[in-house]
Amino acid sequence: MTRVYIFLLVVGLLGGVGFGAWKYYTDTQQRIQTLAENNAKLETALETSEASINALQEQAVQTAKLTSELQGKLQAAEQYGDNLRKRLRQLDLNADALANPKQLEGRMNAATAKLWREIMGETGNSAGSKSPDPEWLQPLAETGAGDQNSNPGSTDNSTDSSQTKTN
Amino acid sequence: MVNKDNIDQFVKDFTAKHGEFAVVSLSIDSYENLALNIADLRRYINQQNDIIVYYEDSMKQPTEEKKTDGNAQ
Repeated sequence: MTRVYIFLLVVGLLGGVGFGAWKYYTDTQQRIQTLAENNAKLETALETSEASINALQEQAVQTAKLTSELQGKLQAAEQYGDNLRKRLRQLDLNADALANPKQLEGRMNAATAKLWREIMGETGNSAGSKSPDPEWLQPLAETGAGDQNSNPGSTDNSTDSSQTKTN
Repeated sequence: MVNKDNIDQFVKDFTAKHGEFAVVSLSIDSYENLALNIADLRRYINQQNDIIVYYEDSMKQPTEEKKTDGNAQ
């Protein structure tokens, strides 16, 4: 009888150990699977974060570059006015007007035509320096001299301010 | 360009061409001011153009990068 109890006890112990081992195994496998899934999610999140950081860094570098270029262009846009002020300080237009008005008038008309073409080019006119003079600009025949930078042979009446229309 | 030496001839030529003598004139100082004001307008136009280009470049580059990435995949 005692052997039977011992046998049952041994069988019970072995069964308990076996069940515990099986339970531990399945629980561990499930935990490993959960951790693997979490790891995959974290890796995806990390990749997304790194991509976002890289994109932001690239954007910051690009913005800094564009801002620097803009600063340069804004300063360059002031160059014409600065040069003009410097030139007007150097010149004595009153003396030139008294000494040789025709020559000064020609120089003024040439400068006006040049400025007109440059403004047209800067505001999207594809003709640029080849565009004809505006009609309101006095031609060489009337000014008499000095119109070396303009195109006296051609005129453009598209923006003729001398022909004011009235209703 | 009219000065004290050629004003009589100018009045004569102008009247012959236009009938009545009525002109809008500028002194040299006023002409210089006009030139500087036009230079200021030109500066303003160019700077506004530069700013517009800046914003266009800032806005379009992320989209272009995405398109490039999409084509690469």
